[in-house]
Amino acid sequence: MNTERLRILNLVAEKKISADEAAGLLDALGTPAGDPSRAGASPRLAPKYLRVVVEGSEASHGGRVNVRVPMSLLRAGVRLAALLPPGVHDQINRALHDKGVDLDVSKLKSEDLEELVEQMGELTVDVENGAEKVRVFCE
Amino acid sequence: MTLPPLVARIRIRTERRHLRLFVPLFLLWLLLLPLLVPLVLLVALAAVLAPPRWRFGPVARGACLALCETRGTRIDVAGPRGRVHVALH
Repeated sequence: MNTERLRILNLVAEKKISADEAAGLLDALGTPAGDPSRAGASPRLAPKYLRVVVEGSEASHGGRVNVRVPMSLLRAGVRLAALLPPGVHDQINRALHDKGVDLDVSKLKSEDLEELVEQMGELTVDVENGAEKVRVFCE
Repeated sequence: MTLPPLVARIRIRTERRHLRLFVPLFLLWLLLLPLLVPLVLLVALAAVLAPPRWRFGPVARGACLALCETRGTRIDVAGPRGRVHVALH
């Protein structure tokens, strides 16, 4: 906790300022007063890469696939998908549906992508079926 | 301005041999540069003749951008008989 915040809290403890005034001062310092757990926390960095790791078990000769794809490539891909004509979207949707993925490509918008990418920073998918282990995460 | 991948590093390791390839992709782009002029003309012609729902210009620009953003991609595949590593820089 930095010294400014400590001084404000001391002023509250000494009853020199009210809790409301302290909240206003803490807000001015850039930290929500109602969320003291975030005080001093470093800003979350946007993930730069999407990693897919597939590990085979010893029974399947222990093969391993490790793929690192830049997030910017995903962004460019979504922007490209948004430019495709509606007829092509339908074909892609049908092909994805046949593979068991219910996704409407036409609803992918580049404006929503930044938020999606930001949230993907905390994404970790672990799938294990005994023979193989698949891990998808961002870094 | 984002550049396309300039160098590809390929490593192939098997039980018997270890191969390292350093592929200068920038030379490939330079060689393809003379093809760029007729390609741009072709895209412009397609943009004029094709139905309006086909936006050739933005799609071509998006495809180029996607190609540029492949920089930093790494693929590593290891199996019992060997290992292949590809990295784009």
